[in-house]
Amino acid sequence: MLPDLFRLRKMLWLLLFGLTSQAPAAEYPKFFETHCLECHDGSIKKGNLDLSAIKLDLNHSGNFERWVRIYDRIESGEMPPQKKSRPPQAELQKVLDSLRAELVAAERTRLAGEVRTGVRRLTRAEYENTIRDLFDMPGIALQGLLPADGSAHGFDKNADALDISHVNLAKYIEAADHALDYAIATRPTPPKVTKRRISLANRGGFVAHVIMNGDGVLLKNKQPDPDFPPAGDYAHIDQGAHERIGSFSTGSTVGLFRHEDESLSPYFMEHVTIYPARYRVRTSLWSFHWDKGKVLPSRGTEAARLSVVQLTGDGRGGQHPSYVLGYFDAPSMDAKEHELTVWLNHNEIIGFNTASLAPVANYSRKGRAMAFTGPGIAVDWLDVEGPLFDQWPPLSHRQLFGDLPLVEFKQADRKGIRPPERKTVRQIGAGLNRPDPLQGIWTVESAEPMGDANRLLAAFLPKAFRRPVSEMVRKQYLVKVSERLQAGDCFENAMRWAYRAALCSPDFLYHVEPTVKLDDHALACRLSYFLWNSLPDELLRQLADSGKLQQPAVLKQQVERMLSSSKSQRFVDDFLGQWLKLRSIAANDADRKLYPEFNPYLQDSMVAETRGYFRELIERNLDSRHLIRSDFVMINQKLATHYGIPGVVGSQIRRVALPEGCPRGGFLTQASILKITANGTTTSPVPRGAFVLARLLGREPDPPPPNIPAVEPDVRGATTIREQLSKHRSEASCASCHAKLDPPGFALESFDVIGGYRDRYRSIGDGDPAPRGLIDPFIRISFKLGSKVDSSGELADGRKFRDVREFQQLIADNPRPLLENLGRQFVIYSTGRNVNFGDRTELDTLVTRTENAGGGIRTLLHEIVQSVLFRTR
Amino acid sequence: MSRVLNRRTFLRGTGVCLGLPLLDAMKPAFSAEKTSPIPRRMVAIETNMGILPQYFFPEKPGRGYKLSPYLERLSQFREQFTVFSGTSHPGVTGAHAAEKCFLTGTPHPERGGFRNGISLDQFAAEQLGNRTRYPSLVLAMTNENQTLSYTRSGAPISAERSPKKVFQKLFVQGNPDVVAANVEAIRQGRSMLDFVGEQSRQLNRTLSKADQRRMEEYLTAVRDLEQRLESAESWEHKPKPKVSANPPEDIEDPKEFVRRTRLMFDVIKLALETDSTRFISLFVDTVVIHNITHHGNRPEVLDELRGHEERQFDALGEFLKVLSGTREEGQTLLDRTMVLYGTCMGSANSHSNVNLPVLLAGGGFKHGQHLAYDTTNNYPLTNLFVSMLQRLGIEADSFSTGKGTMRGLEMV
Repeated sequence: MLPDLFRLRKMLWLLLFGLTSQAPAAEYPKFFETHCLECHDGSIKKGNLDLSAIKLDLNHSGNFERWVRIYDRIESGEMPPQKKSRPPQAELQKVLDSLRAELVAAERTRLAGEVRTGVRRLTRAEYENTIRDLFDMPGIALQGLLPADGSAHGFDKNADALDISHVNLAKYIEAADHALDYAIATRPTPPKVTKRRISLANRGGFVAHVIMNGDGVLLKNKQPDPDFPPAGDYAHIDQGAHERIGSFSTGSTVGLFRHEDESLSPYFMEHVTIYPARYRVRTSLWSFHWDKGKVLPSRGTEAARLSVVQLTGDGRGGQHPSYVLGYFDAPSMDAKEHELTVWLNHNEIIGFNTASLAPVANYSRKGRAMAFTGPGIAVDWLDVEGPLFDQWPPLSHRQLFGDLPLVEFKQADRKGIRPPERKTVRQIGAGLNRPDPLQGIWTVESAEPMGDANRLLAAFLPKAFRRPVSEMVRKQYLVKVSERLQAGDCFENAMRWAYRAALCSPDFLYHVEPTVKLDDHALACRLSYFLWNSLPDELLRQLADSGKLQQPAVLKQQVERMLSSSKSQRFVDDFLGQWLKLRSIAANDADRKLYPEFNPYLQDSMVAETRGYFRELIERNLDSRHLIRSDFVMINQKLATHYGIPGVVGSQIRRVALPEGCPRGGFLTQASILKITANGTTTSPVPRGAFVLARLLGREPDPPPPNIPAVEPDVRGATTIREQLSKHRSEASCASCHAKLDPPGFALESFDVIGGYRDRYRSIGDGDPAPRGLIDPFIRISFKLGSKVDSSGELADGRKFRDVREFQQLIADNPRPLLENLGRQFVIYSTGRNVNFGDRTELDTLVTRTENAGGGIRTLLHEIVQSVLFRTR
Repeated sequence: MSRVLNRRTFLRGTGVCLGLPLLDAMKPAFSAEKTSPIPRRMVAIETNMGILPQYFFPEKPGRGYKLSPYLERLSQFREQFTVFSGTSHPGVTGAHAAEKCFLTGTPHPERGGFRNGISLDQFAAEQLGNRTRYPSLVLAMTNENQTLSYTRSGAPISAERSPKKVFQKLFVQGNPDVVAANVEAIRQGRSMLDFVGEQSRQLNRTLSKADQRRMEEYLTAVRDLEQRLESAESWEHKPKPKVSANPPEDIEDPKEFVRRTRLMFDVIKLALETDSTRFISLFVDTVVIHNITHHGNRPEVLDELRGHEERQFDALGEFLKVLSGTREEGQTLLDRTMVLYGTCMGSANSHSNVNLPVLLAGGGFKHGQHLAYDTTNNYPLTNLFVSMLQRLGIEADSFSTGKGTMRGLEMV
């Protein structure tokens, strides 16, 4: 029975196909004539669309896109527009079905013989993570060397975004050399582990300098250090002399009032890394209130920032490039110890900042520290212990040379052999740590070079290339090793040649997926580059080797394992960085006059919130409504103050239940999103609306017509942006798009450019004096309050909302499009290709399955991994 | 462990290069590239403590403007330079911190954790530097470790401060061991590229048609890099040009500011003339006169400062004169060399970083005008960098914060 039906359907399908040029075509012209040509004919041509003349020539990709748009508009009910009569459902369905069939068929023809995911190289982040994981060097810096990647369909993981030129290749060679320099052990025993306790007021440093001038003090037993009076009417002089007599080496605590700025870079200079490795860093922090010489309990827990600073040039001066390690609590009058393990490269040091303090400067004020009343953060010490290796030689070396012994290279015994090159990296800056001297040149020795080379390459190449490597290819590398050995290279150099070549070969640099239905190894890669942004680990490799990975239960288990690993943080960061454009968080500066309370701590906290929230959605398998609305937020004290939520203490992100009536909750109202969609000075509903439509609802708006002038925002506060955009409503040709685009933006007018809630606009010119609210007392406020904010609006379908909360309600009530869009974004990200027209059915199916299982985001991830879209190119 | 190659044979094989070298060096290494066959150069100079705006900026815009007192020192060349006003690097603030962003345009150098971007000269050198022995020359007149040039990852490139050492580097033959080591390293690189190119062809055979087209890019990159290495290797074998000038003796006294500038310009001219490099950056640190750049508008201080700055412009004028007096195939060296001269502070007295005094001479543009942009809402100076890159033949439509070419500046 069934096979007959199948054959019948197939026949009907062929019939349909055979009549392609006529019968289905007969469906739509009649439909258009009845329902569409009133506006979309040759003379009126609304929206520049003439449906009387359009041909179903779908081989042309431009025309294909047009027809997809027509299909979408009809399917979503957008067209015919509300005010016109709605066509009967049966008729609609017939036209849609026939159009869909045409589009799918045409797409299939166009893509016949082609794979949908084009072969592509690793992105910068993927490259760096791959090397980091392959060699267990979690902090080696490689991304900065490589030229920037492009973007296609919102992500860099796409062949169209990733071109390659000689510049890339030259950089890959440089990066490979750098990685091998770090990975290869050059001594028989590890460098001696040292533990050094250093002060923030190090020799020749900025902090000692500012202490001399009253922007910091030395403390002992939580009181001003009796041996070093705080700068008062007079500053201390002769920093050099003070250092020589050891004023800053007494082990006293440094209390700092001043925030970093262009003249102050607080660095823990006395440890300048010599050996790239992991180091254990410990510090003891507390905060206090300083009142003209008295140390008192502070206003609460403050937050200090630790960063890794990369010294450049000769290591002197400030403002070297750096990245943030994290924020750490400094409780009032109660020293808290913090410990972290961090990878440090050559010439990297730890940097510090009084992150939660407002900028103050005492050096130019009369009475300096003795006239100052305000908060301070105290650093008792910083311990740096390392380099730490859990084995020697380390894993990085073993990946290349296994267990071969390290032996001293004596030229006299090795006539005609060139010793390995040993580069000395000069320690710059003013570190007190010294290298652990080594006599002689040490390198791996092989009693049986070709045998060892074969063995080592057989182990390394499949790991680096992420799939089995044929004997033929391995032999090609072996031939090169042999040539190098015969040319007089030592074993290390000969092997290094092969390793460098491997790291520059397309097998390493590209994602190679040999079959349309992904084999086990390609699937393992897709999984690991999705959830870890890096190569598969040992367990994934084994599962792939043993052919078990394709089993649904195994896949599910692996996804669970990978999400629980700390490496999944890379997925969170990389995905959100692009989907919600978090990479652009610093693209605009908040205007200093209008938003004086903005600072880097707030900005970093914003990003941490969005990441933490996404992580929570995955951990708790929450549904897609939470993209728009939720009853909790993931915040720290800084954000709590910013949002006006009481009772949150400390710099760490944690889950906080939302107080009644609070408009926060969901990505929609997070400060990061609100900042990214504004320009630092003013907000505009249009970019915000476009962001909500495109990024959250999956309905990319059409670009504006050409020659529309930009709107000049009015910072004097005379007119609101809503008034300036009135044309969007009054002109019909504008309204067609802006009726959809503006409403989310109007709802979000309740939030300013840094994501703070507002009832009234801030202005620089006219207005009423602004109350300080929760803004730090040390920050000078000069902005005024201008016109009232009106965040009401009307959706395109006519439903009205009075404020952002009602807007959230309306959108969150329809979770399907949110879930579908997120699914689409995950698919684009993880498969490296756009979701084609023909893919929609499969996407639809997996989203429905997710819905049926509760609609949670974690479920969605599982469904995607199990789907055909993920398992095929 | 002998590395002596047939260097002597090579030397005998090539001709001796005299002081009129350009015909040799001019031949493009490979015709596949889209750049013009005319060698084009760039010298970018920043003087870091500002230039008094009241003596620099002309009053009227356009052509035929009345020369300002400083530009008067360059009057001979008024048709060969363009002066700009109302321009600066968007977002580059922080007073002195901005001096490291003059050629990069990366915003906010004063912020903690700032990471610079690639400088204009290095970007050009990445694309075109392989045509000369030295892809670029990074120079400075300073006692601190300052430089105008930054790598892609934001690392400063150490500048050479001694004209004598620059001369040696350009014209005195290298240590044979060092040359041999360089040649060996390049050979290893070429051999590796050969190998990975073959790997890619092998891989390609297993791919679909569209994928093969994509993988072609990799192969093209390999070939391009191979050619660059080949040309780098041949440079190692070529003897350095012989010049009739004497090696300079460095002037130690930092106060002999203008004489030191002249010496540096002499060496730069020699470098350009012998086509040893086509991209030069020069950081001029005027810290010796720093105190008086905070003139507070006191007339006697202003006068002293004006005197110093006029002499700086005299030195620049002499440099332009020397360039315009050197001929190359029917044009002058100035016609083919863009000379960018400016500062990172619009008013050193107030430490403002807007309305930067900048001029561009030579290089093949329609000069002779004062391009006056908006002094309240500055026009991006990085757009000038886009124009300069395009003049070099590089297909760039953006650079740093510059998203288009400099409005009003045309190439000839």
